[in-house]
Amino acid sequence: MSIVSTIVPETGRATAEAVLARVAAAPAVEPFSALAVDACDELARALLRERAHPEVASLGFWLRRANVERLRASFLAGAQPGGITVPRGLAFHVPPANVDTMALFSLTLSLLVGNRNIVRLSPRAGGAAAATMAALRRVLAQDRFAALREGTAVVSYGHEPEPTAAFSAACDVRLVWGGDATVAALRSVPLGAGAKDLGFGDRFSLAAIDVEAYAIADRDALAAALYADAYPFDQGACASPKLLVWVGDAERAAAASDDLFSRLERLVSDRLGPLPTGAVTAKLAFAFGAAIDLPVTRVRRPSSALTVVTLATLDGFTREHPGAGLFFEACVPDVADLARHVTRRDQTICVHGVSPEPLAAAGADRVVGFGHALDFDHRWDGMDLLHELTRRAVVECAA
Amino acid sequence: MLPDALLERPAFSLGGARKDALLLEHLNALTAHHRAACPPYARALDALWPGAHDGAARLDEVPWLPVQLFKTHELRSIPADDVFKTLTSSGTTGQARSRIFLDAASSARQTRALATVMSHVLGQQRLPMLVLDTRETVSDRRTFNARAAGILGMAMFGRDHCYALDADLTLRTDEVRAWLDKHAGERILVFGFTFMVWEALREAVGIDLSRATLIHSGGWKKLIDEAVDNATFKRTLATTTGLRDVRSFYGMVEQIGSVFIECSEGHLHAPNAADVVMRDPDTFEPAASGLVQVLSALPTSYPGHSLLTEDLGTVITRDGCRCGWSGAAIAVHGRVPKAELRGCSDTTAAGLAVAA
Repeated sequence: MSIVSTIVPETGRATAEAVLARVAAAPAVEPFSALAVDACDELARALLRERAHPEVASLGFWLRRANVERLRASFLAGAQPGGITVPRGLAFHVPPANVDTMALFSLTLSLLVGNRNIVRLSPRAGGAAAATMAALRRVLAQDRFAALREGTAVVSYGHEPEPTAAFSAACDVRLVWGGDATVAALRSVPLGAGAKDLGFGDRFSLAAIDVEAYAIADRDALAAALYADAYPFDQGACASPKLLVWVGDAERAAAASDDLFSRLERLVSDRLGPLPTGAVTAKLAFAFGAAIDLPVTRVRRPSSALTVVTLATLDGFTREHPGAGLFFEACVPDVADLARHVTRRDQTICVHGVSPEPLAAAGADRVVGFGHALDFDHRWDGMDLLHELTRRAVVECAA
Repeated sequence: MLPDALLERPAFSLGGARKDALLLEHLNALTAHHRAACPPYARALDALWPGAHDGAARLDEVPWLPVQLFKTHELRSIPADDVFKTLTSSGTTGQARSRIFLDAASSARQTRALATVMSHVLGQQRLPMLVLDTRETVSDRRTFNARAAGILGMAMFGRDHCYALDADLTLRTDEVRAWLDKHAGERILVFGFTFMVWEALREAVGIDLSRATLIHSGGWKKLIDEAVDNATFKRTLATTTGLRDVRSFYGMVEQIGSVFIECSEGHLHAPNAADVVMRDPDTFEPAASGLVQVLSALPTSYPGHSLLTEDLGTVITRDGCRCGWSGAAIAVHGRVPKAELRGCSDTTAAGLAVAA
């Protein structure tokens, strides 16, 4: 018998078995039911009021009715003839402890397509996660959402393996966010025979700017977009750019680099303030190590919240990164050369003036404009989550 | 230029502009030496301090390395064949340890530097020595670590060593009393790691250490957790054992031989061959308080002459300490707390699958 803390639908304590029994008994709901769309819209309104956590507000923006209707349209348009799309059943979510919006993002996607859901929230989750869950609790408390409430459980427990084993054995789909080590560890916990495992491992992301395009760009807007892409989660979100590649002439790239990073530095010092000293000392040691191990020509501002480590070449680049505001930087002559250095480890590439298709073809999962790295999207790491979270029941006869 | 000349003077005798000039000359020479002899050091220097770097005009302009680099990289300025001894730092299980490479000359020099400092405090004679640790710490070669190295390093300043603790770290009261009776009337050296000294002596009964000098080191973290500061530490030991001469020291395996020892005023003093720069944790500019950067003229076999530590400290005074010793007098406040950053990669959740 293993006890967990419950957070949604109400705060308290319960056994993992009792949580499972309650959720499993909840009524079935079809994909994109009016009920789920209504609940998401109410949740959106609550999240948009969370001024203290801007990343929560942007999740709220994504959950608005208008956006969810677009999701529904794209979901229905993708369905093949000869059947109906139904929820998978019970989804078990293991979001990362330190990106506070992931838990609710993962849960609401699954809720929208009609699944029952159990979310394991880390005891280390931050204040923004607590705020999102409190909002969800208030929305689901309304009588009309009883069917959704019964099928939803957000719980928290430490590293005891029993609840994870129980939820894994009972679920139809398991979503594990949080890096290679977590995905590998959770894979050793058995699922039921017909269940599906979705793992989101460690990824790297970068940005690329064409040197000629930079000269005529709105450079303050570009710096602001880079700030919004890189800094919200200490540069630790998998989609946050950690390498900036200049495409074009090396000499002009050096001048553009000075220009862009001085604009970015102003934003960082205005909006961010100093880093925790422990993060600075760890980043310093990382930057010195990079200077020893990689073809680094220069390290600028090693002790500030914006450190730039310039590489002579992308050959041998390991993609190790400490977070906390460090940009590797390199220059390549053309997009074909950049594409040669893209690997399947690369998730998001933000581009300005750089042709996206060769980069997507070379292995990146997403190529987006500056300022869109952290956009919520049901298409993630090469998967359409709406389809992964449902199944297609074949209907090949009449009544 | 070898730093041996700096070790010929009495400890804590150098100060002011004269010390600055002598040290600067040595440190600049060491920067040039390590740059030529240690390619990884040269790469780091070229990336972080482009242009001139061996002509620092002031001590706070001497290039530095983060001390953690010795945990991740093999940094030595001597051929592998000349390595006489490799020192490793203490560290909890699973943590990377520093590796410090010494040739015979550096090893001898560090021993000599330590002797210069200790004889200044303890006198030229070897004193009967009470070690507040267990004999197993030094006798079991499988667990030989920084604690053992520290004890053995100090053991040469004592004689008739008595290990005061059992294997389970309780005080062997009867044996210690008998040993103290044997040395009645003599001055005694007591040595141990701060937390173990505290645990052993805080409630000691019938142990008279009124003629002893206690030398201790090893960090205050556990004691600060129990709200025990240096003043409480000293007051308690004076009450339970009569200890009056209590001296902590600050040093690290990465600059062994460069020992900052507590003076009669309670401040840690830089020895002749060493100095310190405090760096503001936000700007990294020199400041009265901040991250401790240690400078030492001793390391020739590895590039450790200028290291930025993760310790926080304050310069109390330079050359103005009432104890009469010259050089910088500092206080060390402890380690910078580890920062927990956000991010998608969350290795701690991997623990979810570990079987009970």
